[in-house]
Amino acid sequence: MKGKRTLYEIYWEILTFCRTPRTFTSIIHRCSLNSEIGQEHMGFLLRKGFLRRYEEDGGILYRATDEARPFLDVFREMYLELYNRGPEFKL
Amino acid sequence: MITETLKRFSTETRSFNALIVMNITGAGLAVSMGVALGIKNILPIVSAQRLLIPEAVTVGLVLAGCVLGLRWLVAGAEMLDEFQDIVDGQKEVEKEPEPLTGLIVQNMAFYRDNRSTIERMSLGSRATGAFFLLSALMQVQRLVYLLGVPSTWETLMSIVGFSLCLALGLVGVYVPSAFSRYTAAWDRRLQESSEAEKRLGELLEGSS
Repeated sequence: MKGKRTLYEIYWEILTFCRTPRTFTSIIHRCSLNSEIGQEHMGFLLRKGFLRRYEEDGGILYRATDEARPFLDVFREMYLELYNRGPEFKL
Repeated sequence: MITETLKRFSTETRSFNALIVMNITGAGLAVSMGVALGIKNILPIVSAQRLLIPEAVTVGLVLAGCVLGLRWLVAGAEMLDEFQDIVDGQKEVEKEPEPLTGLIVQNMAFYRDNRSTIERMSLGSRATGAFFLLSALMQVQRLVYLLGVPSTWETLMSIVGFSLCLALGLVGVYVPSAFSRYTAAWDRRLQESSEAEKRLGELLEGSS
């Protein structure tokens, strides 16, 4: 995803993408982040325990943990709700 | 709730896509009218083989207008291309909450990126609408005169030209009003997302 996103939108995107194990490169590619910013965001999520890092077949993979679930649920509910509030745009 | 949100998202996406297409069409027409007007004013200069000030001024103005029109056209095409990702994504989304949330986030990012372009396109559309309405108004007198004489090919062409200018003028007035409804809807969502950010921040602070 490209474009201006807030910090929480980027966190949500990383965590949603990491529902299944992912490599660092695939995460920053998917989330349109540069390596430095990607490391910063993922470092934060790792410290929070929302993301887990482990080795598999000689490679390092990242996966979202169950602790990320409340954040993902609240985020989803809030965004769906704010989208539905107010008048619909229609031609 | 998901079904309703998906339906709303689909309607809004279709509407905005149509709005961009209308805008590109308007820009294309503005450029082509400009080129026609430019050629019409260059020909007397070429025939006279000297600089005729009124015609030269008109050509200069038309040239500036064409440059703006082309920029407007390119901005519209770029926006259409960018928005196409959302349109395609929406077609693939089934009735599941996660991908739909992703599309809402993507649309928000798109709006943050393109808000100023939308405002400029709205201004361009307003100017084009005013130009065509003015053209229609200028044709009224001649049209009234032609309607008084026996029906000819010229009368028919004048009616067609007048109707076309009037229709394009009305579309040019309608498009900015649709854009302002779109920006109002997304400005409100952006404002509410800032409030949502506070809650999400508190949630992250609260977690270990």
